[in-house]
Amino acid sequence: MMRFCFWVAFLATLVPACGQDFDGYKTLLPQGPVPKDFTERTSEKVAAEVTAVAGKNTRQRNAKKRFVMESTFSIDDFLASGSVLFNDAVSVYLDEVLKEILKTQPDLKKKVRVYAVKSASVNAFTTNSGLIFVNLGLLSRLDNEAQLAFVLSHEVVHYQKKHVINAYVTNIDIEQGRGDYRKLSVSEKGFAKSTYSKEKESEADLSGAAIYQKSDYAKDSVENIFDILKMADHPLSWGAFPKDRFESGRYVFPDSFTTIDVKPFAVDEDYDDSSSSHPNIKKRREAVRDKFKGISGGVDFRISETRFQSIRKIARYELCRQFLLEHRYAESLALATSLQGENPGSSYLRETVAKACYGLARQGLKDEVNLDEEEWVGEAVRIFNFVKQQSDYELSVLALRQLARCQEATPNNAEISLMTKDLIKAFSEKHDSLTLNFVRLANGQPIDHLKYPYTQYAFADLKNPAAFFDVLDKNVVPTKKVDTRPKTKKERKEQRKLEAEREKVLAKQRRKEKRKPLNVNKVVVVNPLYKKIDKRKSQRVRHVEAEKVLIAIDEKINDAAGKLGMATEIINPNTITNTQVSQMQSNSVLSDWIDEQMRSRDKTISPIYNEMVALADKHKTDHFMWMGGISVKTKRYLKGFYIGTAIIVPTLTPWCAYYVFTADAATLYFALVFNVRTQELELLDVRPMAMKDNGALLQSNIYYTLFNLKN
Amino acid sequence: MRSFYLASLLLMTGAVSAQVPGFMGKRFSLFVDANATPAFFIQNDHNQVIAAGESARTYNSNRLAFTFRPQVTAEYLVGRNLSLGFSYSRISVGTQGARGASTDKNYALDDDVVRGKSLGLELKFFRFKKSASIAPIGFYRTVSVYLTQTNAYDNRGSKAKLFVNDFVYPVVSYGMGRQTMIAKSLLLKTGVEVGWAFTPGNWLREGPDDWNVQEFSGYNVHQSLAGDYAVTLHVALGYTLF
Repeated sequence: MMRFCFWVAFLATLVPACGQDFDGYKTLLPQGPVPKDFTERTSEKVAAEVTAVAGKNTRQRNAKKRFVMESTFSIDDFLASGSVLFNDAVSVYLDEVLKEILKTQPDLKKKVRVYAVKSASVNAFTTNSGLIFVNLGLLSRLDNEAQLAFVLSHEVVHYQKKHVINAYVTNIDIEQGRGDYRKLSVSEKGFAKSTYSKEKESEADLSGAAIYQKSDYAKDSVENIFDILKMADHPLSWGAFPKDRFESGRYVFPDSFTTIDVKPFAVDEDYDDSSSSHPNIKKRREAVRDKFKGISGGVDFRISETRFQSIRKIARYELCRQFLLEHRYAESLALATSLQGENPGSSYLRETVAKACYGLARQGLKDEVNLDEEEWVGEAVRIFNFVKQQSDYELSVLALRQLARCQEATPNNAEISLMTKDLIKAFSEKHDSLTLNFVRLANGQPIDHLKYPYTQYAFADLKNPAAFFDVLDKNVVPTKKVDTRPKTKKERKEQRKLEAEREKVLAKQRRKEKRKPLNVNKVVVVNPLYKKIDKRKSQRVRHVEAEKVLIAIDEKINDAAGKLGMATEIINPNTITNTQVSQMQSNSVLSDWIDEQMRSRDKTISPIYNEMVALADKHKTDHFMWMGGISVKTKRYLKGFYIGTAIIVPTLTPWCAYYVFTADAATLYFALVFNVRTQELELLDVRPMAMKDNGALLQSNIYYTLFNLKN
Repeated sequence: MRSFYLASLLLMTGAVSAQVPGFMGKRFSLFVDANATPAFFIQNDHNQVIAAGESARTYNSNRLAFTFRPQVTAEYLVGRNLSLGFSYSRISVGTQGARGASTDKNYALDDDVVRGKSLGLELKFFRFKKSASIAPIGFYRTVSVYLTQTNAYDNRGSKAKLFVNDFVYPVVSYGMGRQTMIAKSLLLKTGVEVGWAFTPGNWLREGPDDWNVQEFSGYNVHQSLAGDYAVTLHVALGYTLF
């Protein structure tokens, strides 16, 4: 029994690292207690940091204080964005690698914290306060742990040498033409900034190499990191493109789809870096090579090779989802098909492929498939060609086929079912007689006179073609009729009259629908936003004042909801406590979803629809609200006019005094309430107000939004 | 009949309860308004600079002078952007007299005080599309009707009416302004109102020489009343009660 308990406990500790099921992969979410970096008030962080600011003179100190203020609030916005992970498998691993390279400098380790970021961008960056962020886009491309260790060493130097804050102060000096930067032209200023930035990057490379050299990581692994940087702008894929995985039976693509000359990939490492922030790859590679000359030894993996492989795999799986959310469907398709080589049975990858095809098909139907040929190099060019060669009709058939196969594997998958219906609708709106264009049985007779004959067999060899065709027949909508308007003047007049009447009836219906009470009894308020701007002051963005509003907003929402007898949950990163990890998890998924919704011009089915439905079940409501406000104060002009008026007509003095001594103010309030199950924007409340903001005004607006939801 | 009134009342209550958010559900507000009127048309003792003695009076007016017409208004939001208000105000304003005008009538130099009260009915239209905030906060326009009841007195403290019958005149006005909430439930109303008192207009066409003492006193009342309502600056504090 003791042994059993031990093994259970041991396996439980491994869950964050190895607990990921790659067949039914679930997105990474923050775990465990919420770290202090996320819970501490931003104004308190600023107050603490400002006391430590040092500088040569008052001007420099003031510039640094301003930087601390701006950067701390901006970083905290980023921490609240839902993209930053903590205590998850990846962040835990990153921290272990960081510990490994700083094992000789424990004091320094205490000052730096590392977090993984759900971003496809190949990047890592550091803040002045010692936070290191490593994007999954970078992790997914690394070859080994040693390369990660070098990246972290580089970032540690940025923190140690205070590069970020010094760059800010120097850039101000350059902009204002102080000291060595006097009398510079605009282009010279740009050049000076670039030179300074490159100096700091080189310093981070070399000093980072010094930290790295003290570790036990392989000294000859570092140089390859620059190959990764070289490929950063190109889609992530490997191996030959498996066209046959999309084919079966008589559904076979024309050879032209994938027959293309694959040219060897070559990048000019010695590109012109005169205006970039980093030295070019050749210079960096040579500088690091010199640093490591004559030094060898060490290993590629200090923590664990298995852990690294697992973490990288998680990063890659996560990237598939990230690409879908960013509507980079071809890249998602490329990565998912590459990963299918290692895990062909993964339902997650199968669905990713289907969703990517769905996205491409929807883009294709609107003629919006935009792929940059320059980015697709090496074997990946076959994927580019595969997508580019297909018409919107062919892409739609391909997508429907992939969706149908997913539906066969998981019949209750709501997301796939909705995508299928949505695509059929969009497809049939553009292409006539869709139901007649497909062979419905495996041994069915071929259909003549089709523009793309091979597509007729797309659904014949499904396990249950009848079920698919049932969905197709039910969801096909008639194509728009050819213009049959009457030709004579009288007939046209009559027709216009009829159309006007029809429009009136429709408008009435729309109004009626609009008036329909929403009867919402519970709403989840997500990440409220508030900004205050005072254009009269040198520190225009009033972060601290806005933070106070955000801290008090929970009470206002609850007061208003209480009056209306509504239940609310508020996911407010400004008031989060260290036990509220569940809220941070919801925030992460919700942020992904709203970003994707804002990206969509047409209403399409979200690639994370199922995750949203699960969230709706968790919070016991379908209604999620994003709300906030912006207040702007500006200087009043024509003060002389008001003073003159007061002199000429003294009776108007109070009115004139008000205009002379107060700012011109405007406030914008907004609230968007989505029903995440139907994906409908059910309430849009946007109010620009020609008045100064205050607590009561915000309270009144919040109440009105909730009032409209309830009634 | 009683049932009819009850049903009507219930129907009206139902109608005004629908779709009116108010401030946090509160739709009834009570305002205390100073109603400052620039003393353009109603210069009198209160804003005269008296140089030395009765005989040395000069027409040296204080152009920063205001008269006040304290008013209490009860308002109820009957629609999203419409409120209905009932007001009661106290009128106390001096008369112009004939200072500055050449007249040989001594009584023309004698000021009176016009005192009385008014009851008003006000329709306030909140300009949702302009200010876009939720009533009772925001920009508004008002249309009001007042019924004034005044009389003339020798001075502020006097209780003896100069006329047997009170002057009763209606006033209509149009106003605009805005209401802001300076603290929870506490409203500040600022605005301007222009009004027309339906008094006889003799004082516009004639002078003291055309009048006897009684007419002089009466027309001064008309002039003061019209002047008091001509332009009013609103500065009011209000509280949303329920």
